[in-house]
Amino acid sequence: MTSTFPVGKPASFAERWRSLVERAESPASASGLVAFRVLFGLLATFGALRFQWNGWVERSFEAPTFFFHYWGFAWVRPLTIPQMHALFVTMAICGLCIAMGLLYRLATIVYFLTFTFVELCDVTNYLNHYYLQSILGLLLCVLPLHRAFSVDAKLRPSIKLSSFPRYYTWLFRAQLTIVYFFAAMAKFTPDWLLHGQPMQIWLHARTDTPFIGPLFDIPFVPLAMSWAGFLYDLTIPLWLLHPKTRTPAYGVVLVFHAFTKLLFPIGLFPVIMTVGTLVFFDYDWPVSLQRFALRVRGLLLLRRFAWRVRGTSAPPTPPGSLVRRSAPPRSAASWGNSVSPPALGASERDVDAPASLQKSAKAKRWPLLLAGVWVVVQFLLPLRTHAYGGNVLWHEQGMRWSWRVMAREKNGSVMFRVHARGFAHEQLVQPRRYLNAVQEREMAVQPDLILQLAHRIAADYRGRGLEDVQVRADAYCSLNGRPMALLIDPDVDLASVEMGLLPAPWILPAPEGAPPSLQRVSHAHLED
Amino acid sequence: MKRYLVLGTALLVTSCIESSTNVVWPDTGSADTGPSIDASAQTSADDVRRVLANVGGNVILPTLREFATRARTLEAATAAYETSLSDADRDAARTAWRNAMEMAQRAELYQLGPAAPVGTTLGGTGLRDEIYSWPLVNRCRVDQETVDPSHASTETLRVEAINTRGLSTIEYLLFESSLNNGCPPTISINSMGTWAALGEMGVRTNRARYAHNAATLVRERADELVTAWETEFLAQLSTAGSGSRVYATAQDGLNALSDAMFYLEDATRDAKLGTPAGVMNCMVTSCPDMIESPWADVSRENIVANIRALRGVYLGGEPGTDGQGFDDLLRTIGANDLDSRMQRAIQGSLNAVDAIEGPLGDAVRNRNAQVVAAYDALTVLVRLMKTEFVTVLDLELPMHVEGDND
Repeated sequence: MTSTFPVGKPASFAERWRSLVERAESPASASGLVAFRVLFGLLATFGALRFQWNGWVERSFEAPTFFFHYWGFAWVRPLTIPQMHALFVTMAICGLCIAMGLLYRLATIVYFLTFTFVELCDVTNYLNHYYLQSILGLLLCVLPLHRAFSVDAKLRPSIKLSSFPRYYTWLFRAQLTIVYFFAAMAKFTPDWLLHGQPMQIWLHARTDTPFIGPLFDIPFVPLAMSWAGFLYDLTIPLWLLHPKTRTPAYGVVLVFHAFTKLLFPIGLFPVIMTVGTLVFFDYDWPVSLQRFALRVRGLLLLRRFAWRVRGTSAPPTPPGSLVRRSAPPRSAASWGNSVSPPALGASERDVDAPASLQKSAKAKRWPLLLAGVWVVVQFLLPLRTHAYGGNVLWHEQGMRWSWRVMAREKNGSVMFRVHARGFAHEQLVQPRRYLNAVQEREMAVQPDLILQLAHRIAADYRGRGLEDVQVRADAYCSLNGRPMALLIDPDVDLASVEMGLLPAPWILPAPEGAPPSLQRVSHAHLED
Repeated sequence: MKRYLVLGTALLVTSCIESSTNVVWPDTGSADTGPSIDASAQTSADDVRRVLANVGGNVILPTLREFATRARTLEAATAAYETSLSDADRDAARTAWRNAMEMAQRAELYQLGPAAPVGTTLGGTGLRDEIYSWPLVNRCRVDQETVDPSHASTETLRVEAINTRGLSTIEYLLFESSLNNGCPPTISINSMGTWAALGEMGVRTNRARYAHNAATLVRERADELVTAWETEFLAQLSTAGSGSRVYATAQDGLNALSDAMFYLEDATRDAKLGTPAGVMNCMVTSCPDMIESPWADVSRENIVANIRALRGVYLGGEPGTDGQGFDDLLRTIGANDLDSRMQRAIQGSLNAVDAIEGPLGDAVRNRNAQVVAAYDALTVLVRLMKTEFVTVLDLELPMHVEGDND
């Protein structure tokens, strides 16, 4: 039922809240989320196969002799290589099943578990877009997106629906808005907005980019692009939410992500966001797109065979379209709002629900409540870094799961110093003894990983029967082009430091001062 | 209106890039100075290509050519020794080996392209390992080959394992004065008496013949390496990002060059200094048995050659010349302070190694503090390279296989 308010009387908070809840639960076309489901499934399949095709299974899980675990997940260990390959094949198959809506519940759960397991095997494999993929996979597990336009619905017509509650779509919109918002916050730093770093470093190395590369040497371009990236992340959800700006905003999405894909090796992140932001369109955008395409086709046919076409008042229903009515779709009783589904293809129109059913709807609002809790948690999680203080790009506490996408350029050098009873002098241990090049690079800039490796080194020495083993680290880092500085207190015995989530006093403060300006000043001295 | 806007934008963009595309296709005929590059470099990528062309053509290629020349001298000297077995010819062969080794040690920092290992580096064909297989050195295997007839001709020797030929093998054969072998008693050449059956003359004769054949193979590989650079690879490096089939971007070429420089970390600093000095991979006070070139006692000279080679790449030539190198790239983007500190660190490393008195093996045993000081000086340089140097130039650390990042 559409809530109305007496004319002239301002609505109370409760009334507005009730209206919002009713609107959230009101049905809307399923086609938009179905399209998202299909595209996500195909992306999942492609991503899994790509990982195998590039040889990353062997590189990530066979070559290393040591794996960094997440706190609380030390029990997660990589399987054998054939088993890891089997996991990726499983993911690919699950992706196809998700796309088709076949054995959907099983496919989504298996996909989420296998994908997340793979990511938990080694912290050095963490990427923000892998985290996003896990989250979206989890959401697909709990949302019944297989109940429309799917093989499952075809095989079991009783589950078929033509609409979903609006808040399903709102949930995805909220999730992506959170990603963009915190990606913007990660750029809300002096380095990024005042000094154009690390953008300047990156662009300077990419002047070979076709057509646009030479522009990167122009002095103001790195700063301008830094601001463009920041403003894009900050405002794009707003533009996408507004009907009048949505379409051009999506064009900007395409251009932005194509641009970042061209410049940076960020894998499928642009594709994930390009697919994901489709949820900002109308609930029935695929149907509208289909109609538009048919209209264009019709116009083309009309122009070509003008002497044969008779005018009609409405286009015929094309075969195989989403608007075709086969068996009457089941009403949306599963969420307690047993109303006649809206006319297929309906967009934002509210649907009246019989009053007798509203009580059951209220009683079954827990999914909506859970969705709200999820959004709040997703919003609060990235904020935990503020509990640590300091520069998160330096100390990395709270860095992961906070959407700090492409926020810094950082490289480190670490050497471990081991002392034990009976040693005449300290022994130096190169991380390379335990890690491959990728792991070493990630470890060298993340203090918690340096601590983990120190513990492993200590365990190895104790395993040889040595006592009073102490492990210290000479760890230096350069952040966004600054002179290198000590990352960790070299006098602290890391072997005796407990791993945990509390602020680490053994991590030294970030160096002060602005990053250097590394603008190409002149090539005159390079001339003969 | 929209059409004019698009057209205008296209014109603006193309006018900005027009001059940057005026890169002359390399003239591989003038290999002495490297391919011709348009002097009016317009972009950072053009700056990089100038550095690649200069370093490739005026630093690396001359080093490889000089090594090939000295390899020929070594081949001739070992041939003379094989014929005469005289002490004078043996000494001449040893001198030729030292001279060849000096250049080979410089070339250690230039393991990109044909010299690089197969499958791990763009354009790699593994020629370096064919010339010098260190740290894969096995005295016992060489002794076994000395008894085995396969050493007697280059045809049979060339198919043997790389640690039974190359410069480290030749070093052992020329400089080992003892007539004993390095194998345990259970190995067949001892248990079956085939080594003892050679007698003194047989050991000398076989070793001399073996050294000559190994030197021939080294010379062949050296020539092959020079030819690969002259005919193909120098052009590919110099045109990185501008038509190169090996390097899609100038940055890829620069990465290849910097990757090769990191030989200084694992090999020069850790394996040649750190391990013998006992600061790593050594559970006792020192491990003098782990030094490179133990028979010829030129380990310290090897390290000096390594550092000088890195300096050559970094400066784009010998000190005092005005070649384009990494120092120029840093100064072009205003990183003058970093450049100064890099140069100080390089010089500090050379000074520290020069300060080691006597052969390295002896210093490790009796003056270990000097060796540790040299290790520490190299650590300063390596640390700069791994942090600020790669960050400022947006380089990747070696063996970093391309992958996703965000």
